Amino acid sequence: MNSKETKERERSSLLPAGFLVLVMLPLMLLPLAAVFLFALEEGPRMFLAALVTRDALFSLRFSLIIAFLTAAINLVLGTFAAFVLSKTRFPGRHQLGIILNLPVAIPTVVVGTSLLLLWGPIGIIGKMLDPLGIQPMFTVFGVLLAHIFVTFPYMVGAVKPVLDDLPITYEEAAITMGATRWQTFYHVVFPALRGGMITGALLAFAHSLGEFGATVMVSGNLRLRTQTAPLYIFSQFESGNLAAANSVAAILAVLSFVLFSLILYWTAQSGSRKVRQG
Amino acid sequence: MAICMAGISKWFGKNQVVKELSLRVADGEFLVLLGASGSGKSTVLRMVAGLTMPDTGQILLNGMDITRTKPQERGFGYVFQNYSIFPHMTVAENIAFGLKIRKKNPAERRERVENLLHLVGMEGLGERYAGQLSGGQLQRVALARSLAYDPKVLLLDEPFGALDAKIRVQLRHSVRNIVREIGVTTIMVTHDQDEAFEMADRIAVLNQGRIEQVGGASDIYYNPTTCFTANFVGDMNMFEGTVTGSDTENCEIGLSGGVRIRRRGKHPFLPGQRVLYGVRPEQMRVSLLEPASHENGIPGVIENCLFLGRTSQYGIRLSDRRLLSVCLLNYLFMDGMTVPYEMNEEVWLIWSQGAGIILAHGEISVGPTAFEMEPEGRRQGFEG
Repeated sequence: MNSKETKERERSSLLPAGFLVLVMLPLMLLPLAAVFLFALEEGPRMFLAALVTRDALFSLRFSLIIAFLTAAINLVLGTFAAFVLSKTRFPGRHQLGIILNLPVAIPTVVVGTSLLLLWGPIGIIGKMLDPLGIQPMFTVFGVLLAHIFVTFPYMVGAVKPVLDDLPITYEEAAITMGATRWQTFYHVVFPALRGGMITGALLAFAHSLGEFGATVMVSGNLRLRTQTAPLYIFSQFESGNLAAANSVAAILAVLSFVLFSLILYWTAQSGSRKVRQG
Repeated sequence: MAICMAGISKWFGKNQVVKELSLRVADGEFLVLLGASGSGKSTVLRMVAGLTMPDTGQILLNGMDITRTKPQERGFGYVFQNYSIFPHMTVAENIAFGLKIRKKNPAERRERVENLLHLVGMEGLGERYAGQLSGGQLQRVALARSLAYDPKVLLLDEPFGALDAKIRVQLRHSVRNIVREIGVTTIMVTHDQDEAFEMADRIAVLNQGRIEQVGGASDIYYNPTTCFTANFVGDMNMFEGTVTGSDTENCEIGLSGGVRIRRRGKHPFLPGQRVLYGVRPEQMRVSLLEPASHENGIPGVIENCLFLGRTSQYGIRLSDRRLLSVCLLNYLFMDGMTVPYEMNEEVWLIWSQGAGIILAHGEISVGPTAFEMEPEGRRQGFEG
């Protein structure tokens, strides 16, 4: 009876599910498939050959390093920001929260432009640094700065709701039992935040990996120096080198897919844990 | 250990929630702070724990000033209303938390956890997580956790508030027994009068940040010293009146409706003094016969009735148009009738001259009787 009902329900769900796939085909699935089709068009050997060029390998490695550093720095910065926004009370707290989330709303190209206008050779601070021989833009530092800026809200967004939901009495319970502030954070707050921190770090990593708009402005797109994988794809595509562009694009797509699967897995895990804890 | 609060006050913004409160809790005593929500009772408890700093006054532990001592250094146990059992730790890890912070060795911790699990009746459940426990079990873990490091004082903030009625009653017994067995000084906060009566050695009734009265359960119930306590703890029928005659052993009062009543016993009131006279609904009985000379009585008409199963609550309209509440055990059962009196029946309300309280008539006006406060929808008419 039960299995019959389940089958019936499955059958009736087929139509909307099929419709969804049909709509999503030209939107998401086909373009993604096209990348792989083009990448593997001339066989796996050509795909590998396009991938192991010095420029392609550099761009992939550079992107991964930048994404890792971005995630690591934002893990600390974002968690700290979430902690300040959630657990302290000061005038202008809400306004600060909005400002910290602005990078999500501002087009990334604008972020890149504003960074240039501040740190660039003619920028407000950059102008003063230039005579000292310090040039933060068009360097690794500039790319990292842009990526931290752009992905920062994702980290805060993943950690702050967890902190908001954590009743203050958990910390107070630890304190009355004799725990210092640090012990309370380490034993009580941190374990509760772990899921949110991992999700946030993965989100920051994934966004950094695919970041284009801000990077193209601040990096100068210098090959073998500041060229990230998305910039490499764009450059190769522009110069008509489709095979090179597609091979790196395919690798990026796979990496993103794996990362988002991990994020979804972690979110589901912490969600089900929450349900179990009632 | 004995706790002494000396003139503690607390403001939240412009709102003073605790007003120069002074209270002494003896070593090993179980004191209950009883008050409605917003009376400041939880703030008092938090100040004792050190989670909130008093703006004025002192808190003393065995004579030592601990007002500015950090909560970590006070060594008190605190059970929160939501229990706050750490969700990522097992029951055993939760209970052992205070011991771990105190750097007790693992063997000692294990032994103490086992003893405490036995004490709260949760043997064998040490490896469970909070999400796998019922509300009652969470409450037991919270108690065990706060007792693990032999607290100097145990503080319970509405510990049964989140439980359903039946489990609440069971747990009240077991918590009371455990605390009594250990002999730890305990302060509990509640708004539930039954809970306070059942658990406390002494009750402090709190109203708007002040203590209205401190005393044993029967003292609070039968000898309330303020109109607030009289109405907050149980129900009270209040009458305004004037003392008409008085000697050392009796006080005669002319009630505003014209009826004269008498209260036996020593009293400080003089003839001509305006007073409030109060009598509990269950101290009154309903009769078709006039009261005897040694009883107080007041005539009225039965206007409505609330059948409550074990008891019935009658609304009786007096000659001065006031509606009075009387609570009677349903010991008389008459076939075909839910209650033994009929609507609009003329009856006497009779009570002992040894019952009732007299309060000096201050600015406080007489509140509505308990019966009048019942929601309209719950009233029932007569049946049969």
